[in-house]
This record gives sequence, C-alpha cells and structure tokens, in this order.
Amino acid sequence: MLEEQKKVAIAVCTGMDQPLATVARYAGYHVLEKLRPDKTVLLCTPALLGGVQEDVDFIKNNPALVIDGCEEKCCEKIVKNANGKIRAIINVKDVLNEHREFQPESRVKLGPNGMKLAETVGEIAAKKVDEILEADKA
Amino acid sequence: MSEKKVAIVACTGMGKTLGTVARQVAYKVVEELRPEKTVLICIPSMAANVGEYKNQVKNYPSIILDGCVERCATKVISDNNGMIKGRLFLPQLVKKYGLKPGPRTDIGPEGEELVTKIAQEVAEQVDRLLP
Repeated sequence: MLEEQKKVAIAVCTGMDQPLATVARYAGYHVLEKLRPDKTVLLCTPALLGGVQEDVDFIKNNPALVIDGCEEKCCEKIVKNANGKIRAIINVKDVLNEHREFQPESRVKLGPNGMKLAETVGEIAAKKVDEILEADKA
Repeated sequence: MSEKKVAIVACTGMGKTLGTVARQVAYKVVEELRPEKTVLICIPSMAANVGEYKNQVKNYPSIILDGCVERCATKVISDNNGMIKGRLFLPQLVKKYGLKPGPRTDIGPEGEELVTKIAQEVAEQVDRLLP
C-alpha cells in the first residue's frame, strides 16, 4: 500500500479587523490554489475553534505553517492551543515592512497593491512548504 | 461599553464561498448600513483573548452569520456565553434569493447581490433589537 503523502496545513489569520488579515487570507488561497495545491491543505480556523473533527485531526497529524496578520499572533495561539505542530510562521506585517509599496486599500478590498502583498506572502509560504516537506523526507 | 450595540459575528471560514459572503455581509452592515448601532466581532482575536470581544458578546445582543452546516460561529459564541439574539444560515438564504455566488476568492456579481440582500436582512434585525 502506498504511504499517504504528508501535506502541510496552512493556517491563516481569519481576522475581521485589519486589512492585513484579509491579506493573510488571500495569501492562504494563493498557496493552496495556485502555488502548491498538491502539497497543502487549508485549515479553517473557525472550524478548528468550533471543534470540527476534520480540522482538529488535521492540525494534530500534519506539520503546520502559520500566516499571521499582525503582532497579536492570534492564529499562532489558536494552533498552539489545538496542539498543532507549527513548523514555520510568517507575519504579514513583517513582509509589508519590507515591501512598503504593497499597502492594501482596506479590509474589504485589498486592491492591486494588497493583492501583490498577498502573492508575495504566498510565495514565501510556498518556499517554506517545500522546506518542511524536504526536511521530513530526510 | 456604555452605549448598547449589536454584535455582528460572521463565519470567517476559509473553506467555502459562503464564508467569504458572510464576511462581506458583516462589513457591509458595520461599515455602511448600521455603523452607529453595531460592532464587528473578530472570532480569532476573541479565541486568542485579544481585544474586548469576549466582553462584547457577553454584554451585547449578537447576530450570527453561519456559512455552513457546521455552524462554527454559533458554537464559538455559545462557548463564550454570548447573548445570541439572531441567527442567519446562509445556505438557506442562497435558496431564498436564488443567487449563486462565485468562488471563495471572487464571489462575483451574484455574490455581491446576495451580500446586499442578506446585509439588508441583518440591518432590519439590528433595528428590531435596537429600535
């Protein structure tokens, strides 16, 4: 029997308050849908909090990559509380600090610059996904 | 927290389109339709003990927007002893209005129309709770 391929759980800040949370959200979609669809699954943080078994099991059994929106690090705290195995953390605010030109318009609509920031965060995340899975193979 | 408000709680789920719709509805109500009567609850912040959200859901009546049958937003607010006064189940409203949103990353024109209609329902509920 073939061994089931391990995937990386992408856990993103699903916050409502700040534009950087919306950036984290779109970065998660970018990794899952475009950059690494075969290597990732997207964790649903509210489902994890709501005790949905699929999400609870997934975070326990797979390496996790957290994309937090700001310095409050809510997503990291939630995944830790759920006994998730966090292997990498990206903070959107840090990425924005290095790419000031990619300021998002608002939390409702990111606009072209905000979408570029989401794609940049997604690209960083995709590299980290590769590193995590490579390290696990070794 | 002297002035009474209504807490708007949206499913912020990632998996389904209706998570995105719920989120957009909440923004429309809080930013455009009833900004003076509502507060927006951030579920992840509340779970991480950030901000005033736990107090707000205990002290303000809440309207919940659930995106799927798991009803995670309702569960989270119940677990935090929230005062739930209204619940909208979005799959039902999709049927009611016959509008099919696009994918979760871009809900499209029908999704936008659905957001407008649901937001109007939420605003009416807010007015009933805070005449």
